Amino acid sequence: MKPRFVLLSAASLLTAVIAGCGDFKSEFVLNKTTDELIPPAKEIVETELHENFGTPEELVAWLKFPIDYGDEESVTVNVVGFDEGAKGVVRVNSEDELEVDFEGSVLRIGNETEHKISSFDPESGTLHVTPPIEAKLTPEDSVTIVLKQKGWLLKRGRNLYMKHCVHCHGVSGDGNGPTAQYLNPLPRDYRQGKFKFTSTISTEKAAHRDFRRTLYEGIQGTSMPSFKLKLIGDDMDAVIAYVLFLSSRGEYEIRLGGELKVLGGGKDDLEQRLRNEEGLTRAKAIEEFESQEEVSEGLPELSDSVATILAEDWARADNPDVEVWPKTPRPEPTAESIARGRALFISKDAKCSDCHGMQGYGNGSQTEAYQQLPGSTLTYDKPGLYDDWGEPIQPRNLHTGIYRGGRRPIDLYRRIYAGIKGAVMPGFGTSLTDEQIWDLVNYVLSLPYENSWHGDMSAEKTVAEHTVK
Amino acid sequence: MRKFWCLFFMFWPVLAIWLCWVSPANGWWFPSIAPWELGQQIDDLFYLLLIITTVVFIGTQFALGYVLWKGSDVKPGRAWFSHGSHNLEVIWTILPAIILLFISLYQMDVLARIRVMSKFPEQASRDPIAEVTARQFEWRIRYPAPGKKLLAQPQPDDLYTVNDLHVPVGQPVMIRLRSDDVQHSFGLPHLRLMQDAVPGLVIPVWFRSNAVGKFEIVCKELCGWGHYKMQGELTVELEEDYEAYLKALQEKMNDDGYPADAENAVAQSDEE
Repeated sequence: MKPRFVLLSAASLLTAVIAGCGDFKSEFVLNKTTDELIPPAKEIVETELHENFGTPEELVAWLKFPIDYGDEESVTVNVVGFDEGAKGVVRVNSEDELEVDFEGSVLRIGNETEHKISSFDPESGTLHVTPPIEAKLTPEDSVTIVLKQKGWLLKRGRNLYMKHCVHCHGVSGDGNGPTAQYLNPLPRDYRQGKFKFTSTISTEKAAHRDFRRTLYEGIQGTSMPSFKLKLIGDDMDAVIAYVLFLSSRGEYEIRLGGELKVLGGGKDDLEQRLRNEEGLTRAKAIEEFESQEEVSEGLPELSDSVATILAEDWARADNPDVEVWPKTPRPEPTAESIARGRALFISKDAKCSDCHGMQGYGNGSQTEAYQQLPGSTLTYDKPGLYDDWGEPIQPRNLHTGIYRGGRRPIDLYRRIYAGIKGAVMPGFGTSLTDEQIWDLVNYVLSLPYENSWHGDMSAEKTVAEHTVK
Repeated sequence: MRKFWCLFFMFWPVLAIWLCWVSPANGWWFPSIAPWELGQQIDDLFYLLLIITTVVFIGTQFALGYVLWKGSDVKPGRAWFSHGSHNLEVIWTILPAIILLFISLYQMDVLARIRVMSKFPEQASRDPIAEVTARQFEWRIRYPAPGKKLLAQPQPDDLYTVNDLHVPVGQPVMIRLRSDDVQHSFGLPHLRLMQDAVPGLVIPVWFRSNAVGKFEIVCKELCGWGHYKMQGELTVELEEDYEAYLKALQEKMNDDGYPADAENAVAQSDEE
């Protein structure tokens, strides 16, 4: 082979390696609510986020939040052999099968020195550790092998999230991963801390079991598939921990930004003040903002209180008191029950038909009305309904037989009782009785079959043909 | 260096012979013995193709090696020019044609038994056991209520689940295969079965497993960025276990949350 050819192929191979397998760094991005703050306020949010949540590579677990980050798991074993010549090699008594998780397993001697485990042979019980052990180990000594380090669940959750979830839900959990733009409905943006299909009352957040159910069953009618065979054992808990971590991080950012806005950290507010107040300069206004107690010495306190309230919100969601359970069983879906449900559906009390339409096709009058922007007297540019993320949404067409939050009667009961969080669907738990909700459930469940013959399809066929003639 | 390429090309047929020789005994070709006779016949077809292609591959590689070996000795004088051989071309056109014709006729029976609905066991084609709908990226499954027939149109008492197909052991079963979005392929590697799911079509697929166990369902058509997520599980179980499964699923489908779990019932009464 000619040397030039070899050189050329080596060069092109190198280019491909550098371009294709470059060091991709994933980073958390700031919410646009933070971009609406003046520079010093923005800096505060950025610093606080970095200190309290870290980066995707270096996660920080804020213990304030009710998230299971994964406790340390360790075993104490007896030393069998220690070669003083090779201080990095220890043999331990390994009658139990030890599963060493190499991403940060350590050998601990006493309570002080820790040595990273680089390899472990379970058959002979030989461990290779770095740095070498200085002390002399004898067979009477016992050492601790840390199988899983504190926070292992969160770390594993991060790794699994990066594999299975990130391409839709994004590195920051903002629902803006690379494939998100092709999806309708859009992937959930976790940063408001709102999750639609829950088993809790309308004022509370999603419970741990709701995440588990969504991951297990998927959400039919959306692009969220089931992960029941992909995330088994601890893996599902790990992903849930990481989603809760991202959600807490995102909501903390929004809430802290909100607090700073109240203290005069909003860009728009500042511009307005500059226009209205005579003799106020930008520098002076910023100095005024920075000199406030809450923003200077009191900042840790402010940050802590924001996190405390948020953590309490999350903790309450797992309280059994806020789980929705019917007080009466579901009545048989008789014609009477369905008729009562139908009457309620179009009544002024429930107003279901305002959005879902008189026939439940999801084409009610509200879908053609201009809706008010939240916190404003203005309306959206286009008519129709919008969710809390500012995306246009359709009231469900109840004839499709697809139920995103689950198709069991209890799921529909909960949808009507507690509403769909973040969407327009309100909760009727306080305004309707249990019997009324069940009538509505029976009516809604009957809708997909309203226009079709039950049973043998040959009957329908003849009827259809007959009509055509 | 001249002999290098000759040896290089000779290495592969030797490796191929060795691999073909040791693979079946080591179970490297197939995940396990197919638990039904059609699956085994499909394996036989695979082996037939393997033998034919191995023979051809080795023959051509050795021919290539021979030519390279001979050509590596540079002889003085001008190269000899050949315009080909008519007879040779006729032979290497007709011979593969005969082989292909033989393969297509030989496999026809097995193909028909798998694909042609009129050849399906009557028991299977009369009562499809479930409707499997592929979608990005999961398998949605619809069963009829216990004791009822699966109808084309969804029924109010149908049972739904995801990625979890249960069938009774030893019985021919048929599923209705559909796709909600793009083209998928319903693959049961352990049963050697594979059928594309095409949007707009309902494709009947039948199989039988004589062995109880859990087998993988995979998507065998690259269907998008989450293709690898389309993992399902086929559970082949005894008739009574299967019926118990459907009963449990029916109970789950009709769950109205009343009475609430013991723990929650206490919480609820406190509230009142």
